[in-house]
This record gives sequence, C-alpha cells and structure tokens, in this order.
Amino acid sequence: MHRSGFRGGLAAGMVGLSLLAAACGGSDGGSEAGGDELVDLGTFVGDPAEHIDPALNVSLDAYQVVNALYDGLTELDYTDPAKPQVKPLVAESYQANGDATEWTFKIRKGLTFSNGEEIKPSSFVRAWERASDPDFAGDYSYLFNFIEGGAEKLDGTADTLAGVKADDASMTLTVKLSAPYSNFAIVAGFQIFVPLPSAVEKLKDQGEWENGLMIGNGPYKLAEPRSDEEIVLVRNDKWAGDVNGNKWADRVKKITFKVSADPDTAYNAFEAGEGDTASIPPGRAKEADETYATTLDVDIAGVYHFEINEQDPVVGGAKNVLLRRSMSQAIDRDAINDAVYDGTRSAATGITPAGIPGHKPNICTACSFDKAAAQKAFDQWKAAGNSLKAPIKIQFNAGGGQEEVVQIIVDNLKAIGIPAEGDPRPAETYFSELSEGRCQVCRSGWYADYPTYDNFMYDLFHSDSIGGNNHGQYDNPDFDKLVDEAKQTVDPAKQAALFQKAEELLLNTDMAVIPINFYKGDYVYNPAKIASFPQNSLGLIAWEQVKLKG
Amino acid sequence: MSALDRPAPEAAPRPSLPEAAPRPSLPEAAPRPLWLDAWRRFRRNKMAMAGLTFLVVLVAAAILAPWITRYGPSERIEGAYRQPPSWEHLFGTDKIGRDVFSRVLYGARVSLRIGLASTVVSVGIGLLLGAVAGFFGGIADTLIMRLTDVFLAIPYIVLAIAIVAVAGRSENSVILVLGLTGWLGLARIVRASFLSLKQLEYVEAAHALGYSRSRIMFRHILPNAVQPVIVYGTVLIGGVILSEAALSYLGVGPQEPTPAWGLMVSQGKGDLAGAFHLLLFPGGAICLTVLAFVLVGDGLRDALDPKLT
Amino acid sequence: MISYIVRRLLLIIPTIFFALSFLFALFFVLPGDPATLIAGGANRTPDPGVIERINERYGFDDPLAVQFGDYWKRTLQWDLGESFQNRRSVNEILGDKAINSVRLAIWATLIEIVFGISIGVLSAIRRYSLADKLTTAVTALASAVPVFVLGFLLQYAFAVQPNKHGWPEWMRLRTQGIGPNTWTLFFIPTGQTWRYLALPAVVLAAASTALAARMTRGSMLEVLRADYMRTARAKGLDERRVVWRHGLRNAMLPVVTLIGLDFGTVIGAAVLTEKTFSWPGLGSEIADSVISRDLPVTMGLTLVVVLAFTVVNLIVDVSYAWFDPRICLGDEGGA
Repeated sequence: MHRSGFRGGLAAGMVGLSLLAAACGGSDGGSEAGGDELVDLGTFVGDPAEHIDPALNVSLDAYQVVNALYDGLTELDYTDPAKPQVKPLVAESYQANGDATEWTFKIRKGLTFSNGEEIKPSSFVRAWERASDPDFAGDYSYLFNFIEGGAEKLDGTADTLAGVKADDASMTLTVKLSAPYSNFAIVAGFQIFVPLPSAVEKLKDQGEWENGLMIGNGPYKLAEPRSDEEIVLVRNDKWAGDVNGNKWADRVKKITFKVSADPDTAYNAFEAGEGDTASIPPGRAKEADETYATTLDVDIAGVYHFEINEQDPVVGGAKNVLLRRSMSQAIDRDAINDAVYDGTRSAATGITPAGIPGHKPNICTACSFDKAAAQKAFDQWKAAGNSLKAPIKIQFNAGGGQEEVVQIIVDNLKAIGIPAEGDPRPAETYFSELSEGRCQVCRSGWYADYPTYDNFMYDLFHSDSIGGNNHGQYDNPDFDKLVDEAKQTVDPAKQAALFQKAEELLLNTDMAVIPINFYKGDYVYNPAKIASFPQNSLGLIAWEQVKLKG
Repeated sequence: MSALDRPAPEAAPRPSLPEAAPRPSLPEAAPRPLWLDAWRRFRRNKMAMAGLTFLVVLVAAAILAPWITRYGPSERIEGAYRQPPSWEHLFGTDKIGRDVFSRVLYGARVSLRIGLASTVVSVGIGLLLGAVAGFFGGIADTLIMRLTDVFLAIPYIVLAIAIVAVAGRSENSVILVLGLTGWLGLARIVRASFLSLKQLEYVEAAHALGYSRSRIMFRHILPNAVQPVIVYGTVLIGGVILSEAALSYLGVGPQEPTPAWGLMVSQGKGDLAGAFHLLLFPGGAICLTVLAFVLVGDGLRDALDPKLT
Repeated sequence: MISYIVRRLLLIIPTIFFALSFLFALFFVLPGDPATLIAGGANRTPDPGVIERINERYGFDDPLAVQFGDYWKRTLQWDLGESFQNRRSVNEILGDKAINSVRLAIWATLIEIVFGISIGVLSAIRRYSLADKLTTAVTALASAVPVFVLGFLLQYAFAVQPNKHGWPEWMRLRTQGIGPNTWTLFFIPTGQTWRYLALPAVVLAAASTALAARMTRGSMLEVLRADYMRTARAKGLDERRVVWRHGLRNAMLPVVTLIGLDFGTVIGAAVLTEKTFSWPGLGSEIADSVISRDLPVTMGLTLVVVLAFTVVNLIVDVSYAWFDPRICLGDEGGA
C-alpha cells in the first residue's frame, strides 16, 4: 500500500512500524474476549487510525477495518496465494470492451448495506463523486484520473464524473476510462471505489462519516463510533457472502481492535492475555514463532528498497551506473535479514514481489551480495575518472527501525571503499521530503495496493510519478513507453513480458534502485484460541475467515 | 517551587533540598564556606563517597574507553547478533552485532556530556535570572517570575518535540531541550537566596561603603548563594541523564549510531526473555549514575549545610 | 487573603496568554504545513488546488498577526476548533482525555501521599535502622529508573508472568488501556477497572513517592530537633504524640507543596506512563498532536493543562496558610 511514515501501519514507510505492530493473542483462559470474540492488538500500534473512511484512508492498518466494513465491485480470490484471481463481488459480472477503455459492471440484485438499504449502481456513483470532491479528496483520489472526466472533477471544474453512468433500472454501472487500462477490474475492488449508502448525503461535513456509525456493506459493521482507544466491529447479518458464495455464517461475532502506543508493551499485553492477535515487535520474530502462531510464512506483496536519485550529480545518471551496481552488490542482504529481521524476510530478487501476476523470479542481476564484483565495479568506476568527494548520504525515516539496516549498509559500503553515512530525517515529513527531491540514496518500501505489476512499475518509477512516489526521479522515456504499453495490453502474457522488460531496464541497465527484501506477514496470534488467521499477500486479514477453536 | 524543576515529573529525581521548597527561611549564609570542613564532613558520609567513587570510575572509564574496550562502539561483528554476555563480549552484543560493553562505556561520554552541558546551560540561565530577580526586585523580579511561570506551565514535551523538529534529533538538541527546561527551579532558588542575603548585615555594610551594585552582587552575594546551586546542579545532572532516556523513548532523543544509554534502553526493552542484557546493562548504567549523582548531591547538601545533619 | 487570591487569579491570565502565544508562534517555526495535514496528513502529496482551498478556508495565508488575533478571538469564546487530523472537535477530545488524566493523577497522588509520607516519617523516627537504610535505598532506586523501564518490568512481572503461569484471573493486572472504564464517585474504580488502573498509577507515582518520602524524612529530622519539640518532650508528652501532633504538621509544609504541584503537573505531563500503558490521557495526546502538527488540539489541550496547573498551584499556596499560619500570603518575598 501507499507508504506512510512513522505513524501508519500500512505504508511502506512504515515497515518498521508495521513490523512492530503485530502480535496478539492471549494464552489460554487469559483473554478478555469471550469464546466467539476476538481482541486484536496487532493492527493499531503507535497511533489510532487516522482515517477509516474508505475515501480518505491511506494506511494498511486502517485498511484492515475498511476491508471488514466494505465490499467492492470486485475481489481477489486468494485460494492460490501465488496467483490471486480477480472475481466479481458486488458486481455479478463485469466486462471490458476490446481495448479496455470501457468497463461495464452488472450489479448483483438484492444486496444491501448493513442498514438494509439496497445497493444500486448509483451507490457507487455517490461514493465516487464524494471521494473525488476536491474539498474532500484523500490521497488516493488520483485514481479517479483513470476515469474519463476524473481529472476535471478533481480540479473542481466539473461536478460529476463524466465517464461514469449508473443505470439503476438495469443495475449496470458503465465506466469509461481516460486511457486503456487492462487491470481496471482489480483496481475497481480497491477501497476508494466501494459503494456508500444515501446517509452520507445528509451529512453536513463529510468528515463526520468516519467519526460516526459509518454504514457499510461488508461482513462486519461498526458496533459503536470509533474512539482513539478502540474500534469495535460486530457481524453484519445482512452480508450476502464472499466472492465464492461462502457466507461464513459462524464467523467471529465481535472484533475489537485495540490501539496501543508501543510495540513492546502491546506484545506484553498479548502475552498477558489481553488480546488474541498482535504484531511481532522487531527482533522477536523467532521467539513469537516458537511460542505462538504467526503469519510469518505469508509472502506479502511488498518490497523494502533504497531509491537512488537519478538527477543527483554524485550517484545519478548514466555515468554512475557502475557505482550504483557496486553499491547494490556490496550490500549483504542476508546479514540485514538475519540481524534486523530474525531471518524472517526473503532477500529481494527484483522490485516486483511474488504474488503479483507476471512476477519473474530472480529478474535482477545485481541484487545479490557479491563483494568481489562490487569491488570490481567500483574500481572500474574510479578508473573512469570518477571519485567521491563526500560520503554518500543515505536518507531514512528516523525512529521506524531503519537505523540498523542503514548501519549495516554503511558498513558494507565502507568495506569496499565507498564512504557513506546515514542521514536520518523526521518520520512525519519523510516521504513528502523525498517527493520534493530530498533523496540521494533513500530508504523506501512499498506494499501493493492491489496486485498489479503497474502498481510497482508505474506508481514507483514512471515519470508521471515524479513528485509523488518516484522519489528517485527516475525518468527514462523507454521505460515509460514500455509501462504505458503494458498497462494497455489486455493479454496477460504479453502484458507480463512488457512489464518484465521494463523492470529489467530499470534494475539491470539503469541500476536505478536497490531492492533489499520482500515483506512477510507480521501478525502473531494465540494458537490456543485461534485455529486459522488468514492474511493475504496484500497484508489484509480476511476477518470473516478467522476461525476460533472449540 | 522545586516540584517542577525537572522536565518530566515522572522521569527525573528532583533535588530534595529544604532550600528548594518555598519556605520563608533560607540558608543562612556563612560569610565564608569552609570548604575544608565541608570536605571532611562529606568524606564521613559513606553513601556520598560511594557515589563519588562511582562517578570518578565512570569518568575515567569514559575517557579511557578506547583503551579499555576491544571494539569500537559502532563496530559490527558480522554474525554475532544479540549474543549473551561472554568473555569476548562482557555485556553481550546487540541486534546488529555491536559490542554492548563498548557502547555502554562510550555511552558514558554521551550521558555525561549531555548531563554536564545541559546543567551548565540551566545553571547559567537560572543564576542570571534568579540573581537579577532577587537582587533588583521590582519590575525585573515580576517579569522574571512570570516568565518562569509561563515556562513551568508549558508541558516540556511540547518544547522538546518542537526543538527537535527544528534542530533535528541529536545530542545537541537534547542538551538544548533539557538546558532550557532545567533552569526554572534554579532561578527560584537563587532568587530566594539573594532576597535573604541582600538583607544581611555585611551586604548592607557593603552598600554603606559605596560599593557598586554589580560588585556587591557578584563579589558579595553570589559566592554565598552558590551552595544550594551546587547541590541542586549535582542532582540535576542525574535528572538530565534520566530525561535523556525519556526523550529517547518518545523518539526525540539522540539517534543511531550515537551510543546513548537512553536510546539503547528504549531499543532493548523488548525482549526480556531472549536478550535481557540489552536492557540490563545500559539500564543499569543509567540507574547507577543517576543514583550516584543523587547521593553526591545529598552528601554535598549535608556537608555544606551542617545544621541539617 | 481574599485579595491575595484575587491577585493570583489575575496573574493566571498573563501566564496563560504568554504560554499559549508562545506555543502558537512556535508552531509557525516548525516544519510541516497544516494545510497538507488537513488534506490527509503529513507524508502525502495532495493536489495543490486542494491545499489552496484549505489555506483559504482556514486562513493560513493570512498574516501571522491576523491568525493570532483570530485564534484569541475564538479561544475567548471557548471555541477550540477541531482537529486538523481527524476533524474531531477539540472539546470532545478534551472531555475524553481530561477525565482519564485526572483519575490517574488522583490515584498517583493518593499513593504518593499515603506511602510517601508514611515511609518518610517511619524512616525519620527509626533513623539509621535497617528499615531506614532499606527505604532510603529503595526510594533512591525508584527515582533512578526510567519510567518506561519500570513500567515495562512491572508489566512483565504482574501481567505476563501471571498469565503464563495461569494465576487466578483477579491476580493478573492489565497493561493496556482503561478497561471497562467504570467508576463510582468519579474516581473509585469498580468492576475490573482497578486491574487496568493499578500498574499505571503505581508507575506514575513511583518517582514522586520516592521524592516525597525523602523529603518527609529530611523535613521530619529537622523538625524533630527543633526547640519546640524539645519543649514538648520536656513537658512529658508521650513521644508518639510529639511526633505525630507536633512534628508531622510542621514537617508537612514542603511535602504538601511538592505533592500539590505534582498533582498539577502530572495531569498534563504523564506522557511516558500514558504511552507505556496506552492510557488515553492529555499528556500523550498533546505529544502526539505536536508531532503531527495538529495545532488546535495542542493549543486546546495545553490551555486546559495550564489552567489546571496554575489553579492547583494557587490552591497549594493557599493551603499553606492553613498548615502554617505564620505565613503571610501577601508577602511575595516568601514564595
């Protein structure tokens, strides 16, 4: 998902934090929750959710709640975790025209919100126009740019989304895109596109929605308005079932998300039986895995990496490809994994992780530790008349657990003669600083918003994303062309080939980024109480599928 | 009002001087502190001597750290992650393979630097403002006392976060934060001393002799007002060291790779069962050092003000 | 006396004015843009058009002096605004957090009074006994351990271990939050709430209890040697009566001040304890709001904390007169 700095859980920036945030579980008999209730201590660690309104939320922690409260047009079926399949959910079926510019969603009849209001195509239009209202828009509102008229709506020159047509009588929703986009069906299931009931129209201030008894159409509903201490969900009995028609009728009755301030004390609380799930604090993965059950075996579609500013005179540009290659090969990813992550992550072999359709294993040729090769590349670079006058600065968000990784990298670089030093930046503004061009070599991370290759290639490296998430200001017209073409390609195999070509260009020719590792699940849960705790590769827990023992 | 001198009421020990409490009577100033007498009395106080000995050893160890330790404070030993104490690593190793013994010793430098520097800042401001308020009285006094009220009233954490946001997380920011919040009690003590001292006979005599005000203030009153300041300042150093830990926990302390004790403790507090040494050694260092400053402060108070013992 | 109180109350006004003005000014020195925050939080890159509209609506483009004037105009009408971050009204946030803070402060202060004073008195009258030495050592130690470390160790000892070893339910203390949050007479926990309150109250009280004990001891020792005590003993009064009647009352002066001020301070400054135990109080909310540049929350909550602090301060000074009639409150020199 989107990066966030220090506070959110979701964001890639948050890796450290979200790592912190995971563990939970009371031991037998200790838990506060009754037999069919669940207390989670692992989702909100550090801060309460900033937003739980699907139009505003940008963090993975709050997405856990949004996901339980809302169902979108489509959903991903993770029956085979490596190959997520997009399937219609609130839509009964969907169809794209030949060049993927116009999408028609047929809405299932008889579905309702938790207050009994029927879900119609206009429920989507209502939500989308609200989410693209320039005075209200959240950070993901840029997704409306995909839709014809979305840009005008976002900048306030249009009142409606020109490309969206709702026909309640025939229960169809037609969406015209501003450019061909073959993965729109997947994106349409994302939180910002969920339907909303007519109740939102009565609000004076849309900001009140998430602070009240927000009504949704998911397997759970809010039991009470959220507070800074907890968010309580109960079963939504009007829910019609998931993508495969399963109604999960015996799903957990009540889920309480407790907010705790510090990962270690949250884990204490878990061990004291105050909750059933928690987030694994840094460095305690092994212990958590041995004592309890964890989701450490889940491959999360997310990558922890360092971006390199291509516009930087010292490290960027074509003349410094060898320097960048030597840096990438000098870094001992296994040491980082063992020391900082208890060996739980997997070394990155590219930027696009497994679980993303089209992913090609070992796509990167310079992403493994090879000190001799690194030394050789560095020497060659120097032989070409280059030199480093000052240490390379490695930016990272302070306080998020990145310090140790950067220490190891600085050490690794020094070992082959590259002077480097950490440059800790305030976490609160870290990513905005990077967007403004502060990056020289900067830590970053990315959780997929939805499992598409373009969510990595386009969002992180396309020149359109400079000023946004393309912190390295990577700007290669050949790369852009490949990505643009791939986005419009409907055939999955052809699309994958194009994206892979783009990634090879990015990683192996231009050496524009240094991948470090791929994320793993980071929840711990009490096996005495919880029989199954499924986390998908987006990091989301399928709350309706959580099974308790006995 | 000594209760608020320390920045974090939960965190730091405050000097428990009777002088510090707002009470009508103040230490009678002996015209000449008999330092030798005081030292003799101090030596008899076993606890204070224990504290002093500890501090002397600590300072020596901090200075001699490069010769005592086998590893540098930031030197990583590949593969030796979170090892328990052994002969090779007396205090074990941390998460990324650094020698904790070395980090604790070098950390003493950081803690002592922070403690001394910020106390110097506090004492400087406190002495100046307290002296001006106490000596001149009137508008100056009112303004300065209202200023301390304002500072007392602002939650120190707000200042801490603000200063760090502007100046960045570093040792110097910590010194600034703690220096700027530590002077309030000192100013009050100094002011109270001045108020009572300036009415004493010898000061009046000095006035009668036509000495200038500044001469009276600096030559005659100040030396007699420093006793409580010394005692208070000693305890304050301990408080500052403790506050560094608090700031680290809140994410506004010094940062990696600085081997600051508070930072080490707040990073190492997690895993009690698996790596207790990461909490024990830096935590123990903080505890003992703070304790030593408190004991020395107590000893100084008793030695300088014999009527209390 | 009355005029003293009135004068002190009037003095509160400039104190609050300058404290808040200082904070207000500080915010404009800090990096980070409020409009960005309203548009969705720091670390986001919202559309410039959105930022512009927000700047207009909230008046962030106005000169600082105008914003400052507006701030005070609103504040005087007790319009504290709403959070930039989640648009909750500051009054509402205040209502939630202040109650929690005051309850925790009351209990920490009760612990401080009961244990601080009794330990101090006992070790003063049994001076140099083993018990005296022991309490001296323990109190010194209690004030030398970082609060969060103490909190963490107590959580481990009284919550994690009991759970791992299957102790009976009532013996397990809780580590996070305020629990069922049920109280009688405002501050007496009922039901299971005490299990949530116990650890944070003890941790918050630890350092100040230690200090109160040390101060009581020192103060008692001084008083016990005083002339009037000798007189009382000479009159043949029973030693216990001498100590408790004459000694304690006189020894209490500095201690009462200390405790009073602790109470005033701790309402808004128990950040570490609140963070360690996820106790939703004012201190941690203020800290979070500064970190996220949530100006209305910082200003609103600080206003109340400053008010509480100054009022408690005043009460302490007034109660002084009750303890020691010799003190004349009109005399500024004594304070």
